[in-house]
Amino acid sequence: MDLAVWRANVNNQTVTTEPVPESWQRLAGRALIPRILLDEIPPMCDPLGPFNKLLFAPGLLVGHMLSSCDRISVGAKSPLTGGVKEANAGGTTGLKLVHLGIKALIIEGAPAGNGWLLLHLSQEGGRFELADDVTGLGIEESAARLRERYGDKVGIALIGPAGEMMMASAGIQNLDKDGSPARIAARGGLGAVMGSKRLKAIIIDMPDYKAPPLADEALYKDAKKRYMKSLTSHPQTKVYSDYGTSAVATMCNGFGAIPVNNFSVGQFDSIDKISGDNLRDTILERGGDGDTSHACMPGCVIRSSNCFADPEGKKITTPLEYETIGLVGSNLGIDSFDTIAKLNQEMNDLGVDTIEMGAALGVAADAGLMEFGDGERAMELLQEVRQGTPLGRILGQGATTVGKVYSIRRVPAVKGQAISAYDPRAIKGTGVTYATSPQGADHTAGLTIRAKVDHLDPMAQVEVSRTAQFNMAGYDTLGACVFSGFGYATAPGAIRDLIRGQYGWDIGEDALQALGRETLALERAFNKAAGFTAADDRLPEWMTTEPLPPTNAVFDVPAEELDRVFD
Amino acid sequence: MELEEGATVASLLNSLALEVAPEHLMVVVNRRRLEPEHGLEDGDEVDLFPPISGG
Repeated sequence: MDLAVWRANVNNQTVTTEPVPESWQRLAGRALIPRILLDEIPPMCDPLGPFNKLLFAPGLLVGHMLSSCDRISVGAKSPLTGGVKEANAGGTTGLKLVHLGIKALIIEGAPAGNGWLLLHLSQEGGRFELADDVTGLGIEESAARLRERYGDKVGIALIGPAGEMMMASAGIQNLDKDGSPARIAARGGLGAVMGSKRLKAIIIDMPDYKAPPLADEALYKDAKKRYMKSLTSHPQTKVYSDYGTSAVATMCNGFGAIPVNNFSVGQFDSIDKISGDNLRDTILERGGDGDTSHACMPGCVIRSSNCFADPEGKKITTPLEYETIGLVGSNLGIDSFDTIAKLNQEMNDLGVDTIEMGAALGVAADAGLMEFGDGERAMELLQEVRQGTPLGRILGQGATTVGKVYSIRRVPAVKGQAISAYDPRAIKGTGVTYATSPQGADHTAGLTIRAKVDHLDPMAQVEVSRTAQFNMAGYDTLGACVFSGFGYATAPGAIRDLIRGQYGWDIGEDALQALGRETLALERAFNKAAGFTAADDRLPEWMTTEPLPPTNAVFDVPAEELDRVFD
Repeated sequence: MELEEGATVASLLNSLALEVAPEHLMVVVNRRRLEPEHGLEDGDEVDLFPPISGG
């Protein structure tokens, strides 16, 4: 079975399939996104207009339930940054698309009318249906109704009210392996692009397990064994399993880099209340629906996801991640997991990026719209978003817009996208990534917190950021969860052999870096054509002058250093 | 805690009953990551962080 490109046109409501072009063959996931954008859309186009396209591209190794390696890359020109955007998610979307034989799903065209659509994909092909019964509903209710209609074996990618209103903070939710619509392709407003196509949900109706054939089964199996052995025996796996990403909170705080009160301080007085230890203890104490170790994709042995329950053991939200604990917790002066979890769930149901919305609320607090620490007021503001009031629409557009409207200088963003829960003044290598990544401020594009460097030395960061950016882009191209990275890193040759075993291609020794370089080159080419210059590869001015207590560091990596990252 | 004169990051790690190999830990002293041979001073605040690379 050869994979094919599936093209869904929302104007004439047809779905066609075509062979994969030669130049796309060896690309997948994050690498395929800019390739398709360069080939098919005018780089200067309006991201919410008829010429932008919404892309779903599973990674290169997706389809075999290789642990932690079935992720879906979603992409388009971003309405938030104006540049190339790839956001990836776990759950079942990637796996099921590959089992249907889909190399890339391209959603294009201008919607014909005002009605909302569903796109149904199955072994019979693709067809559009009306989405009347889920239009305007939150993510949870929409997913529940769709699962009722189409059965509980389907995968679903869908938007919530924020996406329907084409807010730039809107993402695209995907079902996890247990049917929760909680794995979000969050960053950069892809939910708004889906909304601009008047597409509410994609139903991936593929109940059968149809992994693509392997070119060299023996080689693949051997490489898989080596990778799995390395993954299961590495101590990082257990930390992720037991604590999830929440374990990062105290580490970041230890460096003086956790965002507090709209990025005004780097250490949180109540850090023990939002630590990984406290999260784990709380989940275990309460029992019931709570789970400290949950897999979002079938077959994942890391299981870094979790489920947070209330004191009665009833589920509040899944997952509760460090980024939310940072941006919606300490960044808003909130130190209660119950409050953070409820805000997380509200944002999940709206279908928004918790990083962007947390940052937006932080700027809103500086603007006097809420007090730091006031979780109830934060929830009220999210209701404004849900109702699409003028204030809600301002918040829904993200941190940069809130800052512009209220004349707030302290906006933590690059290329219009909010900065993640690592203050770049105290982890300068990550600041280099935020500044220079074609994705805008994005920690998953190249986090450097574990690098063996002094994070405060402005001259020691370019190499670590560059290496991290290529590596992360490589994992994003494979469809690998970045948490599996240490498994691959300690199983030399595994990636090269998995690719050769699956496809018969010889990518070379440094497969990961090679894929990463190609991806970054394509992304930078698109951004250049879209009008980006070196001036866009900078942190906001205020972060170069305002010291961050307690280190009192400023972001002082020189422009010449930033400009040589991709030399 | 009390350590002998001239203690280093490495000697601190040796004195603890660790469940994880030292090379997987990140040692941060007064908010800066330090190498094993680095000396420790009176009043230093030492953090030991588990192997996790973020999220």
